[in-house]
Amino acid sequence: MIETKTESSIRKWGRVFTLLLVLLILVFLVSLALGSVRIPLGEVFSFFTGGMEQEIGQKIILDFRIPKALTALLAGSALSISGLQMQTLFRNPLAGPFILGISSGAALGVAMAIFLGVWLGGVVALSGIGRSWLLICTSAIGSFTVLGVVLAASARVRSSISLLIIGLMFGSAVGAVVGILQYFSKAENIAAYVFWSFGSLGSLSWSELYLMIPIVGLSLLGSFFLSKPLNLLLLGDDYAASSGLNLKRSRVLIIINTSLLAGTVTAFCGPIAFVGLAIPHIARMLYNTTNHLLLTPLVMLLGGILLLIFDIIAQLPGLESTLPINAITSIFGAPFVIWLLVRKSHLNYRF
Amino acid sequence: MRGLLLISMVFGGCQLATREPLSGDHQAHATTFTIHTSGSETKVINTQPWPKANEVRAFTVQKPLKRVVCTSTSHLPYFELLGEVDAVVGFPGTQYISSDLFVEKVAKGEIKDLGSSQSLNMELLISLDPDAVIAFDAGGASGSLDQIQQMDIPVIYNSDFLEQTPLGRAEYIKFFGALLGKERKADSIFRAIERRYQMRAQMALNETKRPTILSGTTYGDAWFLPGGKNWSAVFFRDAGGRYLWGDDPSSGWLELSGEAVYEKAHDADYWIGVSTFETRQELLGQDDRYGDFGAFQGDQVFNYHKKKGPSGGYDFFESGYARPDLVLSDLIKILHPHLLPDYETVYFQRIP
Repeated sequence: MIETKTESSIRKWGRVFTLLLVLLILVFLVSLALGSVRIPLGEVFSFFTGGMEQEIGQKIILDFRIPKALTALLAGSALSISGLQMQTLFRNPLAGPFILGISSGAALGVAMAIFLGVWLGGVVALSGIGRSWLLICTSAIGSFTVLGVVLAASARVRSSISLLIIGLMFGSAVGAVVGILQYFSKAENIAAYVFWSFGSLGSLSWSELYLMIPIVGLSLLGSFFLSKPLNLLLLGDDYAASSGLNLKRSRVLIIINTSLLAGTVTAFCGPIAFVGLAIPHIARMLYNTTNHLLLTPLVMLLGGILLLIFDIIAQLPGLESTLPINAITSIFGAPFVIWLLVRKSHLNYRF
Repeated sequence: MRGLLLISMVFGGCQLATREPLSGDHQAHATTFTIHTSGSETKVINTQPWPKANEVRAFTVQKPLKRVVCTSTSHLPYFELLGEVDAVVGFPGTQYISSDLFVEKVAKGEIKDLGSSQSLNMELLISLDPDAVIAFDAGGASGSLDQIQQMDIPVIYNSDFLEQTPLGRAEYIKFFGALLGKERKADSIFRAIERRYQMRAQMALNETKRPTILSGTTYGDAWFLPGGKNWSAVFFRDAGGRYLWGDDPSSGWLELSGEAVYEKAHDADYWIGVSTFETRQELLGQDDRYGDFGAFQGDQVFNYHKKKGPSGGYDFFESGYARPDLVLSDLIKILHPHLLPDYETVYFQRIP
């Protein structure tokens, strides 16, 4: 009896994952086919078979659409996993990938590069670093500085709640510094900073992707190994410890993994809102599970699929102009989550 | 020094025309202001004081203004052309001024820095006792302007940024001429600029070949470029070029996706106007896809960074609006160099 239950469970989950994988590939291909420039579907297929004649179309797919689709896929997965880990670590359904102040740290790094750029200008010109890499580096430095401080605090603080509050306070303080920098700056710099804060999936070219893909890919792989500790943490700190979990070490590993995921995505794409917070909830509600061994791949696939869909919408296919991704994620995402909540008679999980 | 050069370049092109009659109340090109003279009284009327305004503002010039606070660097060149540099006593953000004459005055303490143009330092403003504040309202909250008026300091609106043609914008020299009591001088300066502009535009019009033009760069996901009726687009057309978005009906800026711009402009002949980039290497540093554009590969990328102020600001955004004849000549020199063989560009230059 137990055997067949396990078998049917495996079969069920096998079906779910296969379906999601197929859906992911489908949405990926659709995002390659749609955009401001009209490229007929047949042409898109012939791109892969190597028979595409139109050179411009080829360039557009290779240099604009594929990088953008890959970015959406990676960012969606990474942010969603990061959100999942934070929600479990802090046992707080309102937690997201940026709760430890990562996006605030990134914002501070970028704000300093943009607003104090005139002092950095000399250094920048000498080093030959391009503007996009400058923003990527300063954003990463900002995130990981805040992370470092939070980790140092986590070593001296017993409960996760205290850590959460420390993260929030840092986020707040750093946000205030950014505000001050903005207040004293010229309009063009403020505009440049605001555009960074809109988040963008399409501004990466292959040279940046060559760095982003390995970092995010390895971190996603690492998050699979954190599923067991995360499952134990759901029981509560004391029960987890009594089950043999090294609390301090797990916390540090989870925080590092989350920061690599969220910090890297924020460095390359700017702060992308909503997905990290909502996708874990969507996964739990749709598939009725809190087991991280299953949730991890679920959330990765769902995150990738949804952000790809949002990006397709943001491209306003057929029109020459585009919308910023952050606008679309919340406008379409929030009603979806509300609909899911209303549909379910009660949430099967509680922290 | 450069101010004298500027003025002599203008007067070099016309006779000392102090006896010519004023061009009258009707402004030939500007649509957002008029000047009404009746007897000895001059009234400066803003027909469109701010964006989407449905009221008109008027200022009666009882005596020429002697102490003025300006709020935008684009106001300053008119003072320089009219020889009224000493009339400016206060300015917000003096570190952004490019003109040498004004920078000198700031250094000597003759022009007070009033903070930011969105929120002027009221105490300093009152202590200056100006005759008027020349302000602009970009459509946001004009709280600080109301405050100034409550202190009995007249606020005169300047909506030159709403003008949609180069000559319309440059005609604002007459606006300042009326305020400073130098109507005749303003008129003759403008006529010289207008004459030179129209002559050169006519030369360019006669060219059969019209090179294609791309403009702008990306901010985040979107490529920002001027709309078809934008001030820049008018220049491209009058200089004998074909701006690839010239048919677009908007006078503001377009935000397009990178692939849309690539599709339309990958083989544009010229790429003119690239924000703050000064070398092609820097452009690649922001996005290496810029290197796929034909204009990039053919070394035909131009920017308006030739003339800079001490703080690194581009003078193009300060004095370019007052000298459309120079901007047009620069563009003609780029697009049709044989038409102006001895001319040297003032604002634009090729980026290496």
